[in-house]
Amino acid sequence: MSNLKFLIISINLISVVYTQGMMNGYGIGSLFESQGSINGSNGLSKLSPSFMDNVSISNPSTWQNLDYTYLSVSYSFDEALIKKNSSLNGYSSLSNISWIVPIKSKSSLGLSLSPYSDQRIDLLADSTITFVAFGDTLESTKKIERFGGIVSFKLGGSRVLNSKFTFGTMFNFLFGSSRNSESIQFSSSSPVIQKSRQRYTGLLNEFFLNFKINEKNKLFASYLTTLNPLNVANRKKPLFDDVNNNEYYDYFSPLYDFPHPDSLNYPDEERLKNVHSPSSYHLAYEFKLNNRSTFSVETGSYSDNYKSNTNIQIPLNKTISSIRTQKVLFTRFSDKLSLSVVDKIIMRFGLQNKRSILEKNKLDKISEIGFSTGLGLRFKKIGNQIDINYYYGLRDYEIINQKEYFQQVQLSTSLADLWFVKRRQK
Amino acid sequence: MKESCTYWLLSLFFIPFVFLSCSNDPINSDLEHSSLSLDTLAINSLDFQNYLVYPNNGSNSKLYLGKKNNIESTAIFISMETPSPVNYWAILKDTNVIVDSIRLEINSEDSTLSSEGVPNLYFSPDSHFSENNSTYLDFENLSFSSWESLGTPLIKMNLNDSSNFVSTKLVWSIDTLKDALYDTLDTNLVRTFSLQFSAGDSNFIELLSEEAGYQTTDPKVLIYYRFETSSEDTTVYDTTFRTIYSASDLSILKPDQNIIPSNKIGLSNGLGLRVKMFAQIPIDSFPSGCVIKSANLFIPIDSSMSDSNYRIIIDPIKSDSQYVDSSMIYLEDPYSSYGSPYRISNFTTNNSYIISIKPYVQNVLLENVNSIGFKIIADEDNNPFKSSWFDLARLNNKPVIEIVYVKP
Repeated sequence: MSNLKFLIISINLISVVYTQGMMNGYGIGSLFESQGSINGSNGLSKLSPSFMDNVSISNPSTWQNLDYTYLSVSYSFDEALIKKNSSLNGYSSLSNISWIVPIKSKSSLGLSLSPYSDQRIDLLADSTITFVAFGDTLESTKKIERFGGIVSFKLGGSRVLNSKFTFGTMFNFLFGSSRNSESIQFSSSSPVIQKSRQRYTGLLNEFFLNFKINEKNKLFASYLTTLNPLNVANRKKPLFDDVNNNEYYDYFSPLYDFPHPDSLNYPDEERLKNVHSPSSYHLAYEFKLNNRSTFSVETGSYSDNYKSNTNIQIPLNKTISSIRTQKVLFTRFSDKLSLSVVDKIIMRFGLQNKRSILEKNKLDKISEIGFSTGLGLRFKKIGNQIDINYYYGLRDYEIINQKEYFQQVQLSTSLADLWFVKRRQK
Repeated sequence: MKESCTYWLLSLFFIPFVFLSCSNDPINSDLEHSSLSLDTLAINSLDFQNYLVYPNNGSNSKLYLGKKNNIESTAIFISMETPSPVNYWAILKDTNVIVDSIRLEINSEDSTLSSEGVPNLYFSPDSHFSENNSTYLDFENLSFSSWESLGTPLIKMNLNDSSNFVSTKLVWSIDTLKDALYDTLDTNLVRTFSLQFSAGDSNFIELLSEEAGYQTTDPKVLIYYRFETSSEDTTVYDTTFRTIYSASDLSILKPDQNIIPSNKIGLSNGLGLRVKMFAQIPIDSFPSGCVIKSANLFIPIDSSMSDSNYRIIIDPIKSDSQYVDSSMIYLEDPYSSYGSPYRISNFTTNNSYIISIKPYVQNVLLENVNSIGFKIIADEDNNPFKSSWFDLARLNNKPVIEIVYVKP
């Protein structure tokens, strides 16, 4: 019982003050794959196996190594603190649902649904504008808010080519919507607000390769390409004076917003192409330390060949054009045959170094370092698993001299079962 | 050992609860890239032109009789229609009741009224005026020879419990009209009363019209009557009264429009003096999609000639198809205007008139209304014998429309 108390107190001490946020304001928002772990059972890993021995949930080229069909659900808690102005942002949401079917250890098929980008952000100008109009002094502050994000539906599979090579692929259908609200707030009167709404569609494809050098050494690679760049249907709504201060353009009588909503012609929806067109490659090397422990290193490079446009309001007015990532991972898997509870525990540790470049300007960069630790527990004979992963990182927005402390907790439950097998009636 | 591990594992599930408190703090950032910004525009090219209409003062809360400031109210008309749902006029012909007396009462806020210099009352069982349209032109040869003269009123002072003045009542006995006020054959009978001073009387009085309040101060006819109720061994006489309120009333104003200074721009209901302001909103000077934050029209007032606290209405002109001659007097306002919600009014201050025309300017930009100009008129509730004059001569204090807008 004393251990439990110690753990709770420790967690409280490290977590109460830390938190998340600014990345959501760049481009199409913070890419979920770039903020900590992808799901609770992956740890920091993208390619190298960490769910169980030889299997990574996010790497289709390892799915055929599963013994059973798995349904895995992850929930994520994210927080960020910008220390300079003590702004704290915390969100929680479903982070991944995956359903993976191994087929005779030779191939596999999988579906998943997960957030692709998080666009929620609430920005307030750091200075007040003083405007003198006909002898009156107007003090105003600007504010930009964005809500929503993009969701990713993935459909993938793998095929063993020979004893050394396994090939995997994953189609990634992107869809979602966001709402932008840009306003100018006055100290002495109601704010003036410009709203817009975006609907996104896009299609990506990622190829995976699993190369077994020998029993101890493995190489993994992935290459992401854009089949259909992210397109946006953008509807810019008319500017209005929010007289009734409810942030909606409405008729709440007698204080209907100005100009009267009926007096306007609403502009048509405009379609913008190629607001996000990513390509990336990742390489991972895994070294087996013993039967249960592995050491991995991963490196990745991401770039976005987006087409700049001024029609969509980007809250921080910049887009991440490239990211380079390096990771060092250690995983200790469970012993499938042991009856001891301790042996059923999976442990994951990881370190990550990341550098993001904004607007293809090498001087405008965001550096991130972080560590991750996670535990998993296999239970029941078929290998059901619960996982928890904690990631803590520090982002340094060098050009604007802002530091952001970021932490994430992911909870994951994976249920195994035999699917598509005819069972004899008892 | 096994128990300890279970505790450890269970304890892991406490971690999320530490994070469950979602929070959303604004992040301070440099938002110079935000395109929303404030800008201003001043429209100085405003031209003013007086024009004249025959005065009608039907919606004023007072009735005037007499001459003041070169404007003469020659007569007051009050009409009484058949009340609904109960026609109290029928009491006059009811054989079951005994009518004791019939009185016409008109209220005034003037505590100095006395039985000297009060008007005569005349009656006609016909309709003679339209509250909203009649002008002195309709009564150029007005004669009361065919009307029934009812003489001058009794003056009754209304005091409260502390013996302070509340109002003055002018009460006429109209018992002689008992047969004329109700006609069983004419269901739409209009009873018109008129007040006029005797020839040579130069008095000036102000009375309360039906617009002054809801019924309590309206001109009214009171019918006092008795009726008998009998039981087995008793007969009781009850005395009561019924009130019939006026349906419409009007002071007939006749101004001397020759006294209007030709070099001044001003407003007066009694003179029928109105102003057209030519103001072109330069739509092309505003970026598309902008929102007007404020748009104020400023007109300097010549305080040496103007009455203070004068209420002025501004109403954008809808079409300008007709040539308006300043020397003519029009039966109706020659400019058709938009009215509500763009028709707005405000009081003048000591030396200026400032009014917000924000909805109008915004709708000009949205091309929902025309940008021709405004007609400026005195509010009908102003004292028609008062006026307000614009001060357009000073170079450092010119009329202007000051617009502050937010551009996208």
